Amino acid sequence: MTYTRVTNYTLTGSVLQTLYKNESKLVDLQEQIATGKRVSTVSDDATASANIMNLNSLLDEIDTYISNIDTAITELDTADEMLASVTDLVQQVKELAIEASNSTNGADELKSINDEIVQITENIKSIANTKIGSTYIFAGTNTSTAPYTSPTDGEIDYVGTPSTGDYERNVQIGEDNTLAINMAGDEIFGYYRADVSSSTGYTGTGLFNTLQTLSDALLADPTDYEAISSKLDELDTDLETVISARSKLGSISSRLDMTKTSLEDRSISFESYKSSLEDIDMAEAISELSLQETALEASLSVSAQIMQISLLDYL
Amino acid sequence: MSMSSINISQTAMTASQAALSVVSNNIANMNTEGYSKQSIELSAIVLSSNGTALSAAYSGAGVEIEAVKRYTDQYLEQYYRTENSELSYYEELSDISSLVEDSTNELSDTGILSSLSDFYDAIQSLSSDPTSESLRTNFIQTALEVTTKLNETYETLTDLRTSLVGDPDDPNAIDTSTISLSCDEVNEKLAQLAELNENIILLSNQGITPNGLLDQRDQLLNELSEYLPITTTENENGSVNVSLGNVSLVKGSEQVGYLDAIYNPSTDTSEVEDNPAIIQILDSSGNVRVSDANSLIDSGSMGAILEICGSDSTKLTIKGLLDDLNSLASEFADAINSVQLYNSGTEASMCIDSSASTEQLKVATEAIFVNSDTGTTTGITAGNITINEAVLDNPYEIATAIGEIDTLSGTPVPVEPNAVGDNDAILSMAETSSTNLAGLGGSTIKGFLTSVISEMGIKIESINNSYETQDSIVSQIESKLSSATGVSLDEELADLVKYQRAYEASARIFTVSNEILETIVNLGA
Repeated sequence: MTYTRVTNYTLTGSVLQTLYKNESKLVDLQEQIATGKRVSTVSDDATASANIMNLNSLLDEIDTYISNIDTAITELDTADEMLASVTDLVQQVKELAIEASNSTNGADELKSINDEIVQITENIKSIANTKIGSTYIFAGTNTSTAPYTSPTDGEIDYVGTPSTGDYERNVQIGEDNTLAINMAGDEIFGYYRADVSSSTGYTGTGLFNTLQTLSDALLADPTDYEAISSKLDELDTDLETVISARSKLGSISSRLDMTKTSLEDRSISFESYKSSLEDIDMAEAISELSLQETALEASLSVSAQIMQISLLDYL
Repeated sequence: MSMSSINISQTAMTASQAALSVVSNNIANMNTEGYSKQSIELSAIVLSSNGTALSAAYSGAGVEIEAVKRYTDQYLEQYYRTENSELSYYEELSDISSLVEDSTNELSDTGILSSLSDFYDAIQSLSSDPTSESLRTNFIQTALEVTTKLNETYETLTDLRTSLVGDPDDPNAIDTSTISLSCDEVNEKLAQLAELNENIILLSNQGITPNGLLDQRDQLLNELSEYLPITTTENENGSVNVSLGNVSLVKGSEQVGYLDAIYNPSTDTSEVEDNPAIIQILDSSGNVRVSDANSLIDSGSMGAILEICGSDSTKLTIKGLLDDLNSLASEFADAINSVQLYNSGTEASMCIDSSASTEQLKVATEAIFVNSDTGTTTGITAGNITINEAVLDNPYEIATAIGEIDTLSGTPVPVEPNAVGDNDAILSMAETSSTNLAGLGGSTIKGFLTSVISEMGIKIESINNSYETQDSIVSQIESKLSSATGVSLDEELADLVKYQRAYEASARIFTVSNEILETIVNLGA
């Protein structure tokens, strides 16, 4: 720009302008270095900010899914342990039943075998009533009530949500992605309840049915060895049921593990993308800072020289 | 002849002294804001005043002061005022929008977005253990964060708007608003201008160019241009007429237009909400000349305030943001309440009956979010959204399950009251975070907020860029203006030396002429 007259206002004006510009760049850089962020308000970079806000939401969601998965895995691990114990206990019953089917046993021996079996049955019943926190895990959605009760002697009734009903407890592991993490108790352990319409006075199915009817057979007078032997096949079927339940829950657990790993990977890549948008390159910022400081010093010293000279010095 | 030499040198000394006092006035005022450099205009006296016959040796009768000229550039000055209006406009917009941005701090973890994330996280946690009292309390706490944040942001923005242009719900609030104060300040300056005009006219009628008063007048015009976009026309007698668009405000020595900011008198409440303040132009008796001058004020700091507090959807407006926040609050509350109070006739959302002796389900009847003014679920805005007190007092009222119902004697009861572990309702609430809502233009709740905030950010970025650019433009014009009208110390000092030498030389001629005269007089003695 050419000037025909340069006034003192122009001189000082332009000096101040340059100083302000330098100083304001310095202030910006200082703030960026102090916060580590290139973008601290939306107007610093609106497009990047939109992406950053979306990423923040996504990262929060992923954290939630991961924490859901962790809670579910805890329950599934417990369920797996419990079912492992049940498997052992059923094996024990089977051995006792084999022993009992030997026709050389007298009534007293049969009674003592029965006592053991009754103990094991109680054990299995209390495992079926496993509680994590305040939730009975084998009760379907009736999580506040113990699924197995004995209102009268001999009954092992299932009062949880039946497997034919709405028993599933779901967990959200992704957008539009829920997974049921439980099984209804009656599907694993069966039940044995009083029923006036039945000839025996009871109806039942599954493991508890087998255990209770085995108990009846052991105490029957006269001893029905055939009945006792037939229980062995039933016990095998029941064992199969427990083992397959365990593997079903196990496969849910491994699916959750896989989902968790992929969520964690996604989280890492989102974090790094977010950082590339939001964070400053510290080395770059600091070298920029020292450049600006040098520029400021230079402009200050030039300004001082320009402002001081006038004709007065020479008159 | 010598007598004429004495006369001539006397005129020279007088002229040099006058020139020196002009130079000294310039130096004295070199830092005065708005001061225009003055210079003396000298012209040769061609004919002597006593009318004697001219001889061949006649050269002239000395020097006289023609005028003291004031350096000025009218076109540059008008250009400067227009661009200065724009600068004040962007400056005010930038200042106000940075306040707006501060109140919506969404990049941090203290914003509405972050509280929404926490709330949905709490919903998910509750889904894994629907009977847990502590998780239900957590749900309530995070919901409270959301409503509090919405309330606070709404209040901050509303208060900002009220302080600038008054409150659409309170006709008296405009009296203490910034726009009203600006009108008062403008009126004061217009009055000062009219008075200055009067004095200028008086002096010019006596043949004096009142340079100092003209400087003051220009300074006043510059200050006025910061408030609103004025146009000026200069009259022959040095007075200036000022208008806003085609509405005249000052004509010569008379102020003919008075600005008044009033509460919008429209009977349509939506119009009042769009523009709570109307600027009117009155005459000196208080009669209304222009009933709505808002569209004339499109620049300057007043223009900025009217724009950002108005309702133009293409610009950044506080009302636009408030409307968006209200939509967000309303749709969010609706989405959650719909799940909470779901009842299809055959199935319904259920919460836990905390009065029963064993944990049991009951049909949920309490909404979660309500309008704090009416207690109902209708008319929810960001300003009044709050948690239903019944739910606040009893977290078990939150619906977590969905199950079949029977209607016994008119009241629906659950068919399976023991299914307390069912989490279908709470999962359905969680789903609302990814549902595209028609009321939000097809966006999700968080997506809507993100796009509202980033649009705001784009507009603010553009305002700041324009401000920076305009600042450079105005600086350049100021430099040019200063070059045309400012004082240069070196120039004045050079003039000082020039006139000093002229005076010395003239004084010497006077002395010499005097000696010659003395010799002539003493010739006969």
